[in-house]
Amino acid sequence: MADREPHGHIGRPTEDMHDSADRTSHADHDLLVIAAGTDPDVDPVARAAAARQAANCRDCDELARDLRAIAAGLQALPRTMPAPAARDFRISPEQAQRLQRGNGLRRLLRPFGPGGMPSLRPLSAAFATLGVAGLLFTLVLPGMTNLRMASGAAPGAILTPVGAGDAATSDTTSKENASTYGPAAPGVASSPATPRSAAGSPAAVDFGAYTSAPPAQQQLSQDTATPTPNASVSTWSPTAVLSVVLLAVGVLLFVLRLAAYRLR
Amino acid sequence: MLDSPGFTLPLRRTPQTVEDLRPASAVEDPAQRRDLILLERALGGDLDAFNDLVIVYQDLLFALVVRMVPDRDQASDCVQEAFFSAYRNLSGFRGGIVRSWLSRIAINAAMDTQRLRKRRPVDPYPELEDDSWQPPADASADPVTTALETERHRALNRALAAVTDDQRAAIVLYDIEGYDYAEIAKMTGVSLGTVKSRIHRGRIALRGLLADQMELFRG
Repeated sequence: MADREPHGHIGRPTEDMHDSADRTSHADHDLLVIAAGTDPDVDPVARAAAARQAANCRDCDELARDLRAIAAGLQALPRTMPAPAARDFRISPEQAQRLQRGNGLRRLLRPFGPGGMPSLRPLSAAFATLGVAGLLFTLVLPGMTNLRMASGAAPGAILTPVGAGDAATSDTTSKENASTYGPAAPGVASSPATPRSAAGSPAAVDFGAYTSAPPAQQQLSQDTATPTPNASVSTWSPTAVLSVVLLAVGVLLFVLRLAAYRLR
Repeated sequence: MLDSPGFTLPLRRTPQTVEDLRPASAVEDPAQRRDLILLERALGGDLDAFNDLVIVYQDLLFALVVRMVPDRDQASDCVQEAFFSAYRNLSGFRGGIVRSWLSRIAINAAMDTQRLRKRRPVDPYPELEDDSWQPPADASADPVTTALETERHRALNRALAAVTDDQRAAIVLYDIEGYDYAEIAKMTGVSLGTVKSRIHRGRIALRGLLADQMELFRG
């Protein structure tokens, strides 16, 4: 019983304990509440919240006092400062004449400049983004899918003509190719593991040099492997056209804004 | 007459405690009336009238800009550019306070310079130089007080140069120039909440930067 602490000290924080508890909680406090509370123009609710927080936290209270002192110091800074004596800011008649040039264009561009439409930048960004997204979904992604499907369905279609390409250059190799790969030509799509394709010859792009495969087969493999730009242009959907228009409008608004800012 | 030192402008913001129901027309202010007359004459092609405005406002604009662009040469260029821009856009003045209009143009010029500096950071700002000028001390002022004040200004200017551009602009306009939140929002093209946030965050940043020198301000 004698070893027990006296009752009066239980639960009563010492000075050190109070300090540490204060500091831990101060780290979690929103300092902006205090900063707002020190502002003379702030509404009473915010001021009351700041006062409450400062009353419960010694560090917040100190912060409030410091911020008030800093604000007072800022307000005491000189409001005018003599410009460099050597500098004459007055406008000469020549400069005035030069500055008045291009006033018509400037007047036209004023709605796009500072003080004009505040929503111009987000609007132009939105147009441009929609345009790019539209183009991506209507032209680029389907094109990539077609290409992947074509290469997945007929990998040999691209590689088979390779041997034939060589055949065009010499008769002997032509005969060899004809004998070696010729019979495989009808089954081009179903025989991807031809020796030539495994070799990965750099001449693999020579589509026009078919000699061993039948012409119809050549045409088929060309159509599936390489969608031509003309085909995609002719099949542009209205969405793609709209996307292009949106992109153009977005870019145009950006350019007009830039020009207005430059000319102001 | 216009550039006489005795001519002072009542610019300091005073917090209103009671709603003023009287018609608060800016034209009642003699400085504003004078500015409007000069502006009107300048619009009519009188270059001297515009140059009178330049003389009246050059120090004010320079003080505003040099705190945002803490290099005196660049600040001078900004002020010159602001006056050029004001002259070009004379017809764009849609009423209101001429000082605010000119300040807005100067702030835009300062912000352009800051943006340019960020894009081409080859020539970093030197230490803030406006220590070279302090307002003339009152003859009756205690030398210790004057020295303390000078030291305080120096510390504040150094700290101001270290906060972000946006925070600096908001603090300079609010605390030093005395504009209210709405005017700053209009000038800088951001929302009222953003202005408040910039001012409050900026002050907290200043306190962090001045932590070692807070004794100067607590006295």
